[in-house]
Parts: sequence; structure tokens; C-alpha cells
Amino acid sequence: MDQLPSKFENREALTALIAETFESVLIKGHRQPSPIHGQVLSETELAECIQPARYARTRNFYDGAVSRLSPFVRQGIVDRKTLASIALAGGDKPAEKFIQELIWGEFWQHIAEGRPSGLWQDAEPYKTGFLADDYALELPQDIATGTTPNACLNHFIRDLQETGYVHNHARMYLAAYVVHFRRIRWQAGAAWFLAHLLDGDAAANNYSWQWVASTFGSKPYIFNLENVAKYCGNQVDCRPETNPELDASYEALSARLFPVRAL
Amino acid sequence: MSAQLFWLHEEVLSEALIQTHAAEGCRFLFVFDTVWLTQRPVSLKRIQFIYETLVALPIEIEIVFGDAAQVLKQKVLQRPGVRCKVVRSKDPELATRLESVASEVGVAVLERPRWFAPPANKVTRFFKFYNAVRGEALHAARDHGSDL
Repeated sequence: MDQLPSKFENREALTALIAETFESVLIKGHRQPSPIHGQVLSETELAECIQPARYARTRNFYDGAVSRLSPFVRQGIVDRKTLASIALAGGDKPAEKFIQELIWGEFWQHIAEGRPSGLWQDAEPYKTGFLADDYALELPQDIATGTTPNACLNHFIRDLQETGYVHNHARMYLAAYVVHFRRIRWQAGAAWFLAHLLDGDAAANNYSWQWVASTFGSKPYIFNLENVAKYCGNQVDCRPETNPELDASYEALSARLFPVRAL
Repeated sequence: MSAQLFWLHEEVLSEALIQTHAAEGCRFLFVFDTVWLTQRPVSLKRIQFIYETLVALPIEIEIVFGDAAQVLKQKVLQRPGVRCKVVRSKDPELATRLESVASEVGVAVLERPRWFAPPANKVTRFFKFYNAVRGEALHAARDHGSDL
């Protein structure tokens, strides 16, 4: 048992203490802190992060007006009700989409509470034409290190590992790539995300992975390069020559990824 | 009034909650629980984010790295009669760990505050859930807004 200090000369001193004291329990590699600092946020600071009308229009874009407050919600620094009340200050209509997304978090919680032992179990069979046993158990090294054949995905993996924050749309792309393009069990990807995300919440994270995988939904979620370019193209390398696995139509991808289902 | 110890965990770093319990005379303890961190390993980034928040909160919090059950047993031994409490976790696996320690050491488990009551029946599709809770969620948020 170690009594830990509560005062540090600077951020680097805290990082050094964590690296030494927590060595036995930290995941391997990645000994850098996030650029996102843990802190207490005032109501004014929270309000500056929330732009409901812009959020409703742009949230699916990589540079859209998302609040980026999820790490603070996860740690209970601020609660969803408070964020909803701040959003409502600008009127009900503009706040609707933002509040709906907040309620998604409560929904995942409701699901997890209804199946407390099922956090890591398939809720339903895959709807991909494959059985669970057809999926590999381990995350491949090129995914874990951000060296896949696809530049855009490597960009999102760097976001995950260097900042602990990934845009929601990019999370869906990564999850679909892991499960459907590489045929890895969603559990391996979910554990990878939970280890890195500052907002890693088991209920939201794991059931979102299951939704992408189709074990908690009616069909698998997939994407193609055209979709990534539409939402992320001004920030991320989406050239066909640097993203060879993703550059195809949905019809071609479905036939390639789910050949059994297509029969 | 007997001594009270509030056992904080990674989901309840709320200044408002801490101030409420501080007003009741609580002292605060945060344990980086080695048993939990072994079960659910995380990156340095996550630990640092939590740690930075702990030291930013405007109240003294004792921070310990170790097995939470052992740490709490020692705290109880050091201050006989101390009443310990912890807020129930949203995460089913963390909740199990907290409740196991609470049962072993004699810690009271408090219900966590909720935004709104979830539907009585299990609802497995989002929009059914959303339509069932939307009115109460908006009402509670508006009421909360008047308190801010």
C-alpha cells in the first residue's frame, strides 16, 4: 500500500510517479499523458464546450462541434443532467439532438443493468453469416500499433493511443474494421478501447461494439473510404492509394466481407 | 457526530457531491485499487486524468495505491467507529468489486444519483427507451437548470 502525494511541481512529475508506482498494473507501452488534462470545470467552461445547434448539424464530422466532455462525464466530474440543462438554456429545439445523444449513455446503462453478467458476452448471434468461433480472439499487432495498410485508420488509432479520445464516427470505423474487415471478436476491440479511452465506459463501449458487430443489432455496420472522406477528408489522409482495403463500393465490400451471408 | 470516511472511486469525482458530504463532516479517500486495475487494465493516460482531477478538487483527498479492501480495513483500524460510505458504480463489474469490499469491511453503499428513472421494463431498442424517458429527462434538466 502506497500513500501518494497530492502536490506536484509540474505535470511531468506526476507522469513519472504514475509510471513508476503503477508499473505493475498499466497496459504495456504508451507512457505519455493525454493532452486532455483532468480538471474541475466551471459552469462557464462547460457552456463554452456546448453548442447545441452546431452540434446537431456537424456532429458526424471529424471536426464537428462535439463537446469533447465525455471524459468528464465518465469520471463523474459533471453529470449528463447538468449538460442537458446547459444545452436547454439555448432553447428546446436546438438542444434536442444533443440531449438525445446524452440519453444514449443512459440507454447503454439501462441495457447493462438488465444484463449485469453479459458485459462481455454476445447478446445475440452475429448476423454476418459467420459464427462467433470464426472470429479471432486477439487484436493483431498492426492494429495495436497503428500500422494497418490504411492511413485513415492509423490516424484514428494514433488519436486513441496518444490522446485517449476518438471522435464517435471514427470509433465506429475502427470497430467495423476490427470486427468485419479483419474478423476479430468484438471483445478484443472493446478491451483495447476501454484501456485507452479517457471516457471508457464499459456499458456504452461494449454495447456499441456489439451494435457494430451485429450481436446487438439487426445487421453489421460497415463503411467505405468514400464515407470516411466525406466526414473526415479535410483532416485525415483519405487517398485511395493509402487506404487500399477501404476503397470499394458498399456492394463490393458486403460481398467481400460477408460471402456466406450473400449466398 | 461520529467520524465519516467517504470512499471515492473513478465515477464520482464530482465537486458538488464532495462538497455535500464535506458539509456532513466527511473525510475523503481515493484508492487506486490494484485488484480492480488488474481486472480492468488501463493506460497511463487514464490514471493521469483521474489523478489530475483528484488534486484539482478543492478539498483534501487522501490518495492511496493498493488493494482497496486492505486499505479500508487499515483506515477502520486507525479510527475505530469511523463510518465509511461509497456510491454504487454504474459499471456492473466495478459495482461487484465495490460491493465485495464494502461487505468485507462494513462500508455503506449509497445509491448513485440518477437523471431520471429508467423504464420499469427492460427496453432493448434506443428509440423505445428515448420515447419513454424523454419527458422526464427534459423536465429534470429544466428543474436542474434553475438550481445552477
